[in-house]
Amino acid sequence: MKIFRLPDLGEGLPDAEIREWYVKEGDEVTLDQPIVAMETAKALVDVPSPYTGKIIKLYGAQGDRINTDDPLVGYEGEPANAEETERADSGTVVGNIPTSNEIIKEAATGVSASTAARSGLHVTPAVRALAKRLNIDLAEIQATGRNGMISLDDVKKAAETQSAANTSNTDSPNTTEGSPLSQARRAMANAMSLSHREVVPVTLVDDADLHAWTGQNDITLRIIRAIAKACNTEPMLNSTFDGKNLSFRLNSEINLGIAVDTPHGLYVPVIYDVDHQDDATLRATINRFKQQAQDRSFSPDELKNATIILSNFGTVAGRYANPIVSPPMVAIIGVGKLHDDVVANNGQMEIHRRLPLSLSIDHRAITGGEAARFLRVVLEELAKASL
Amino acid sequence: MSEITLAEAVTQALAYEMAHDENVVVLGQDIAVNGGVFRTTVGLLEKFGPERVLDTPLAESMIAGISIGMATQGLKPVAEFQFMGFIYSAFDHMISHAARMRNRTRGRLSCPLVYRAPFGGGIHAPEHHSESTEALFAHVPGLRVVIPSSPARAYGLLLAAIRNPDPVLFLEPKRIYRLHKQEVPDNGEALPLDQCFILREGSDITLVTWGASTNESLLAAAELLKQGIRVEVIDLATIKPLDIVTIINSVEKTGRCLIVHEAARTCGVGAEIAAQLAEYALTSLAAPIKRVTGFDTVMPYLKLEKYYIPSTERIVEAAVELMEYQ
Repeated sequence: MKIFRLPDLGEGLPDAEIREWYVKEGDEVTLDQPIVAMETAKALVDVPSPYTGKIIKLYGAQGDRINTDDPLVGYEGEPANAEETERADSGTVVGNIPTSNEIIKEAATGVSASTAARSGLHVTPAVRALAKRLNIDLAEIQATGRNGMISLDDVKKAAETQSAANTSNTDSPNTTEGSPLSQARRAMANAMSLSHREVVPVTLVDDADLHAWTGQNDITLRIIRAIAKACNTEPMLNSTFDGKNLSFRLNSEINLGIAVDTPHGLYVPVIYDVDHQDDATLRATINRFKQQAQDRSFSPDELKNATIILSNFGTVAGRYANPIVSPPMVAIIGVGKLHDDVVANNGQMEIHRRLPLSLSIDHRAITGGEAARFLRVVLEELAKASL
Repeated sequence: MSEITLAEAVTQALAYEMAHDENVVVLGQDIAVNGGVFRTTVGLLEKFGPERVLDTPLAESMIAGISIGMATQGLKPVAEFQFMGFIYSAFDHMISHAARMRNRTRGRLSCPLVYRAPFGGGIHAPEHHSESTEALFAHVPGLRVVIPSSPARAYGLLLAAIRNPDPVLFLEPKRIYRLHKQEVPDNGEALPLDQCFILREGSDITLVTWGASTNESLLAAAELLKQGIRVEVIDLATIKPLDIVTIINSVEKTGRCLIVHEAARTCGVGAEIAAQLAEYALTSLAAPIKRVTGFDTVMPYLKLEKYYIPSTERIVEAAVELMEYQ
């Protein structure tokens, strides 16, 4: 149905009254044929039909008052425009309210979100800005402020320490700029700082008695095999530890990092899966590491994923040490200088070859008992006559 | 059960509470015979009769005043102002009497009334019909200001507002009166007042908004997710008193806060949120708090109102700037 609305019959007339219908519902009318007489305040007006077609609805009877622009007559046919449609209730007196049939599927109370605080430093903007200006890494600062926060003084102190360290390390007292560390030394500095910040170390020392050894023995191989045996007995020492989440992972393979000293700094190449390599391969790998250390030709892959470390400083000097555990590893074994000791055996003095061992563990992850049992296995393995 | 609009959810809540509590009466201009200018009171006169559904003269001050009289004497009036822009002549009653009746009488009288008003722009209306001046009322001690942002929250929060023993200004975002539909069980379950609702979980930015702007905020959050920025969207819901704890918890997680409101910027509710975050969560912030708001000018007419109301684009842009802050 298309709607014919009452036009303004005068000049701004608000409404008009139906005096007489000339047509009835169902009539066919032609264009301009008079269809109704409307009485306005001033006159009686015949309203002509705007269309040729069939009338299907009259909006009102004789005597009814029709507002200007309200529906007057309904014709058969499709409305050509919005004006000709029956207007729906727009649901507002002003403007228009946007509508849609989009369905919201959410709960009235929304979702429940995690409230885990962002891992990060709690510092005031001023402290953050000062650290940036002085080029201080906030993560490296010892916090002494309120509630464990880093204070402005902490940043200043760190800046002074850094500048003092730079000065004392220079060859010439006149230069204030320090020499930058080599990559290897830089890596060592970072690893040691991390260890110092996080690890709670305990070091246990003893001497392995090699008196029973017979025939040819490759001492490095014997040490590696002893460590592997101990790892299998006390697997916690071959685990990795996540101090932030307080979780650990037992490692199925023993990846032994070998600390190698070079003029450029400390390297720790890794022998992967020690248990599944034969003696000849192990020996060849160790020899290759020595060569690679000289020409600094380790590939990054060879320096990753160690699960436990062996540091054999005894080839140079020193018996015992407190080796530094490198997180996320939890143990490191230092081997000191091989020497002859006077030992008591059945009430008699004897001279035995002995190898000093220093085992450091991260006490956050490893108990003293685990460490001691680990060391005992190493000692027992090294005391055997041969592999 | 069919899905209903926010406007219909208001009607549903009014009808539920009138059916279950004979002390609830509704009053306002054109709310009875006409069913309200936005049809939010349609059918109430037929159901509950002219004793409880009252058409009032065009006099906002009087509507506010007689509501106070009713409320202090045991009724629970729900009065409608046709538009927020017409409320100002009722200020004296709302601020000087409704908000402080409990305090003035040392608890002898309370004022359990709800003032409802459609608010906000975006419907191409003339002057006075697009106001967002919720901050004026949030400043007044003793008044609760509540703003729903979905049909379900309109239902649950309006029930809570009617049942609350003190005066509540319940502002209905008219731009989203019929923008969405939602299944809203007519079970009479109220939602908690004085609590934010987290609409989307995210870990990069906390976006706090309310009213119709939740619509653009959620669209922006979806757009930002495509860029890998995860926005936690919080619907403030109760403007006063502010549930700052939920916001602080979120900011401690994200480190960044974006506040979106349609109201003018200066002294808007966003300023209060920013101030409280500066007070209680300063050290968690990785970037300055940012606001996307209307402007410090009279709400413009229809051709310009889309530039005034925070758009999805403006919200996305501000969020990206927050993420880029070093």
